[in-house]
Amino acid sequence: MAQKYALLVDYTFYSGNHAAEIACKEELGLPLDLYGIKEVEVGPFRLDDSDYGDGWDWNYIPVPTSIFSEHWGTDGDKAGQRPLACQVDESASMYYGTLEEMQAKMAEFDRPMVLFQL
Amino acid sequence: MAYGKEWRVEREDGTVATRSNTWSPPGSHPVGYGVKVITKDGKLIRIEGDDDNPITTGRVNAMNLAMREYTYSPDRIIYPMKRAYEDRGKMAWERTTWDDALATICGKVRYMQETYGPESIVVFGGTGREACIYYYALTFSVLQSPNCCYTQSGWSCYGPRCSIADYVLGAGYPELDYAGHLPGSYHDPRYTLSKYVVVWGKEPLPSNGDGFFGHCLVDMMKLGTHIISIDPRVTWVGARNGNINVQVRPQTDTAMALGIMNLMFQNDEYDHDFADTWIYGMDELKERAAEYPVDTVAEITTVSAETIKEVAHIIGTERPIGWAWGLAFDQNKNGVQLSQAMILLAGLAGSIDQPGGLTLGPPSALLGKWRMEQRGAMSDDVWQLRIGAEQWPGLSTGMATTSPDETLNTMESDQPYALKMGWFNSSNFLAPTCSAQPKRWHKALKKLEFVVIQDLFLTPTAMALGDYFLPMSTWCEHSSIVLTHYGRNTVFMGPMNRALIVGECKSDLEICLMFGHALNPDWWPWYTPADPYVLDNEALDRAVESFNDDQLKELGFTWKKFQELGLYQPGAHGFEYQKYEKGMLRFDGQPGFNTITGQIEAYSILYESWGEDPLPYYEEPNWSYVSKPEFAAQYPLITSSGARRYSSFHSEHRQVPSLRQIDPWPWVQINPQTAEEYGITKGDWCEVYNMFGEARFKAEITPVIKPGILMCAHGWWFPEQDPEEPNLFGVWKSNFNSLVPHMNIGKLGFGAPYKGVMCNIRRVKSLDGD
Repeated sequence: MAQKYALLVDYTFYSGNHAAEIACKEELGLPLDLYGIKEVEVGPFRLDDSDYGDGWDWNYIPVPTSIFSEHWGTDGDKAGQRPLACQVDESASMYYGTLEEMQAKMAEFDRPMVLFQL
Repeated sequence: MAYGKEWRVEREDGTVATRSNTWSPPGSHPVGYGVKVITKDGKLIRIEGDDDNPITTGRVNAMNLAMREYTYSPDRIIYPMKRAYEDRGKMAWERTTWDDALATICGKVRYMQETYGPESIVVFGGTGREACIYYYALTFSVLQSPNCCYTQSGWSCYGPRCSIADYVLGAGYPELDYAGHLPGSYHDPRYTLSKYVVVWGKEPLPSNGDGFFGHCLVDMMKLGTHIISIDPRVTWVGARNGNINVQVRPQTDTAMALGIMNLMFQNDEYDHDFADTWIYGMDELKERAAEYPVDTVAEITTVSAETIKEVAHIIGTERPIGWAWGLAFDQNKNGVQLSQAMILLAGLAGSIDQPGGLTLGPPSALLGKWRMEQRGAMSDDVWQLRIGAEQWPGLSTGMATTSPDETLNTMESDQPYALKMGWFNSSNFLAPTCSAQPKRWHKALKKLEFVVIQDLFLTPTAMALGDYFLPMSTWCEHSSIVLTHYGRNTVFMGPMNRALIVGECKSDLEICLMFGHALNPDWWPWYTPADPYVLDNEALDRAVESFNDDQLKELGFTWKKFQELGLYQPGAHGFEYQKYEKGMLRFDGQPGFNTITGQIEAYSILYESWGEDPLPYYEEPNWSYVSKPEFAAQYPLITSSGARRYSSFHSEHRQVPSLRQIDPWPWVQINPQTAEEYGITKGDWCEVYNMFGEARFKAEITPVIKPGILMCAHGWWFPEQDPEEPNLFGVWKSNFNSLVPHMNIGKLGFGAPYKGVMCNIRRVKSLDGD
């Protein structure tokens, strides 16, 4: 079976810094209206009236597009090579590797994570 | 991690990777992301991260990643340009040569010096960028004028915090200890992770203020640090689990500081050993703090008493406590007192120069010290003519510049003398970047007989006023040194290595070397062309290296060795904590802080000598519904401004397509309840207005801001619009600074209310139509 690849995001700490978006455009030479990674914002939702961070749901998730999967997924021309997006993300919260590696990596964390199979 | 000595390598695919550290242009603070600049046949291909950098570890921000677009933007000016005086405001620029620019500008400078005196020349410098080192030198030792001006009313950016640190702490800028100076980073044996960090009036992830790598907060949170966020808005950092949000009413932070301090005294929760030994005026401070009981402070700040009590208990008992203080300390008329109070709180929390607390540096070092020494190029008689220096000693002692507010007064009145020539070094302050009441500045600046612009793009300021335009190189295109906090706390420094050349662009340093050699060779000995008015690029390259060699001599490096070193961290070269105990802060070599008393001054001898209260106090902002009840019905809201985003640095980057795509229009944040009251829905164009001015933004409706409070974008103009007068790229349409009063500043001359003025809001049809 062909090797599968995945993108793992530690979205508790992914800061929505847009570096991954620009990095993909630069690395792949994409036109302005196409993305390899596109951030989505979830929230901010206020869960209670407290002054604690726990009273908020507010996260950013860098979503890989089909263009990203095409290059870094199975049989992609960049499969197995770290994407520039994962290097430059300012919050150091994006990981790329084989599906098995990323599943093992995800298990190291005790907080919600997102695993994208490419 | 170790750097190899090879800082430039050719890759198998024929590209060349040049290791470098970022600064500016384009605008940014001296954060020095470790990068590789990838070129092919002399053209920039892309920017990559440098995994070996122990601080940024390969990470790079969006603006630097967009360097290719910025570098080759069709709007960029890459040759010297000139325009006839009578064509100001018109797109009537024509290309010229450096030789013409050198001869003509130097001729004008000499004419001004001889006819009106050197003080008739004023240099305006932009914030944060490399120009912050060189525009002082340009003013003092190249043009030999005492009038170096940063135009923000109340000098409300970084300068106040530095001056107050100088006056009451007796040290350079205190910065959160994120182990940046230690080669082992967070795992260095000398380091202890902060248990809590108080992030106060600062959003460092997008802003990287003053060279502080903001995302270190994310690194620290991942390791277990919690954040106390004191801010009118709940920030993304504050909204992580385990963190606390102290949502103060804008500009009431000093009451919060004194309220926290009072609780620490009441509960006897503070570092007695440190306070007894190192804080001067403890009895008076306790008495003053007692005037701020928690219920009063809760009422003033609109934060619950329970939250204030919890925060005071944490600061009083948990160790170590780190501190990150921000722009909100400066953009506040009461900010001098806030800075003093924050330094005292850090002392009471045992944070000063401790691992995981705050690091200290000398008041001025390395390049930062060199820039201040340039004032020696003028006689005392000329130096005495510095605008506002005599009236505002509390400002002019700490800062080598003019008083910004007095500079506008002088330009409008021609008193005590008229300014005749202006040199804008990387400052676009007709756009809402720094000056308050920019239309008044615009009118006054038109009187200047001759204006030089040093920049990369035709900004609204350049279009309105410039006669000569000197094109600047980006950090990829020149060799220089980046140092955090401009030498006031050099957490690290690194080389910027030239990787490509674009057009005939030159760096801040190169422009100083060229004009310095022609106008004042005794102070500018490095560049030695055969003819000062014929540009010799090879001689200029040698001059840059020789200048950098001289700057690095103190550390025992040559420029070439520094390039091989890749990064200088004081932790690898004798850095120590607790410098005050070891005689490392005072010029006399004695233990203590470099203040008059040798201690941190809760009771400031200097403040008292300048007619200011020696102790911290709270003052209600002048333009609020509390202090101006007569306007409360007309202007029932409070607006803040100045929050940064990842897509721009103040007024820059608006013409970079991939960045403009992120934030296409100026925005105002508004609470859902207030939006409903005013009939505003998401994306509506709105006008925010008060008794001073008005500006337009698109509505962002968000619960992170309390009802009745707005946050407006700054720095907006529209490069796609008509550049000519009177439109000037639409610079007046979303100009937040038109809402900020002129000269509403503190007693020392510092602090203006960019982060809190009363206002109202109404829905409008569009950016232009009603």
